[in-house]
Amino acid sequence: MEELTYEQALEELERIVAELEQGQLSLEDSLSKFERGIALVRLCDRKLKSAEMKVEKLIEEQGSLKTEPFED
Amino acid sequence: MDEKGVFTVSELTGYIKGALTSDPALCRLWVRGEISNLTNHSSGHRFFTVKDEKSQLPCVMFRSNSRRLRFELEAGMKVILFGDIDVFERDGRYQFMVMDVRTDGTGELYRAFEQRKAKLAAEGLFDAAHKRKLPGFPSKIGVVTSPTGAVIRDILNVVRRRFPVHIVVAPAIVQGEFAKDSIVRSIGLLNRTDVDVIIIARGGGSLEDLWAFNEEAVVRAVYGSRIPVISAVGHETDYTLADFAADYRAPTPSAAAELVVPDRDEVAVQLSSSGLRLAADMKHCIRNHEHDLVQLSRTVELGNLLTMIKKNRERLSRDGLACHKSMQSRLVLLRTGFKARTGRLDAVSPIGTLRRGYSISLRMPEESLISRCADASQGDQVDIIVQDGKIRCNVRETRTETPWKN
Repeated sequence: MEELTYEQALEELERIVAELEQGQLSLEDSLSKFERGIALVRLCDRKLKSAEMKVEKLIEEQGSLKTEPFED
Repeated sequence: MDEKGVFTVSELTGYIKGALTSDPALCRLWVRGEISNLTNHSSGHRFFTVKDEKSQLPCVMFRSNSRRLRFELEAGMKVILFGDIDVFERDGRYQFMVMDVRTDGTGELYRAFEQRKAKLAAEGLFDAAHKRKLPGFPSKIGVVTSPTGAVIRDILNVVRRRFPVHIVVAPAIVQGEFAKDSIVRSIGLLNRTDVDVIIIARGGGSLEDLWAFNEEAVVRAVYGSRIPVISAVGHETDYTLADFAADYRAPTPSAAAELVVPDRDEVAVQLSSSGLRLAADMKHCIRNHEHDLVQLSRTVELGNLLTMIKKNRERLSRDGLACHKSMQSRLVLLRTGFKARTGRLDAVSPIGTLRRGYSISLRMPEESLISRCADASQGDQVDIIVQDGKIRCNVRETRTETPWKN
């Protein structure tokens, strides 16, 4: 699940919420969707809290790309 | 010259040429008039006449000079020409050898801008259908701009404040004769990386200062970028051709940064809201199923009792009771399981949200979560949950409006 991007996780969460709201699922399915939903909420929350600024400069040396830290 | 002082044609012509070309007044001069009889020779040399109400002057502009023109010559154009008077001996004609052309008035660059805009628009480079949406949550942003100065600082500050992410700067020269190639190169380099979006930015300036972003090569590079491009060149009222070709145009570099990253706090609130809806839905779901299960257990119990009543009364009532009991214990398990999960949910989000002033609205008596206008109607009882309790209300009206979200 960690490989999901924030965008993907949020989309899946919205889908699960919509499904549960329709109320057509069996209890078993509802519970497992709910658990998945909670896991997605946690993942998004983690990603939000760990968002970090990293600034690099892109340069090309002899045909290949490299990055260096960017000094302002 | 022969013995009686008679010139040959060539000698006379040569004399005239010498007289005219050695006159300093006829060298390096400016002349103003209107272009007519224009021919664009395949060689690249231009032949035309420049005239006013009373006279006309034949002109030639050799390819070495004409290829530096930023715009196309058109008949009827009012121009100021710079060059020398010369004599074309073969035809016995004097002519003006043009080295530079300016449009009469301030419009030279604007003219070039309009011509190029029309040309590239006709090719479809500005079509709306070609434009892509910007990603909602980029994890890596590319920036083409000068590595020093206010522009890059502003972009970094906005991102840092709003939603810190990974930024890759491809430094470019943004003004002058080397800018065009530098910008094209930087766009190309970023296209070889995995950035989610590219910002092209430059501060304000005159049309000359911003000219690099009107160069055809830059426009084509922006159009052809595999990665979505948002351009923020100059001030709010400056439009460059790169802006038209980009997937999105922002009025300033800071605005571009705001468009590209969401606001972290807003996103957190949306996440909380989703979490709450999840819990509320699950609660309803369990309630519905509880009801069904209770009904079912009663029916089964009764059914069992009735069909087996002839065989063994004691065994019947024991079986029925056991069935009922197992249903009940299953319900208890479900309830405790759910409580544990909702307990963990509490740990995830809403309390901090309530403390920051957001509230949760529940329609009573069902306690259903209100997240849009359709969830409530006039006359409904609503409880507004705030951090220290609840406010009980009646709905006066609901009104659908678009709120603050981007």
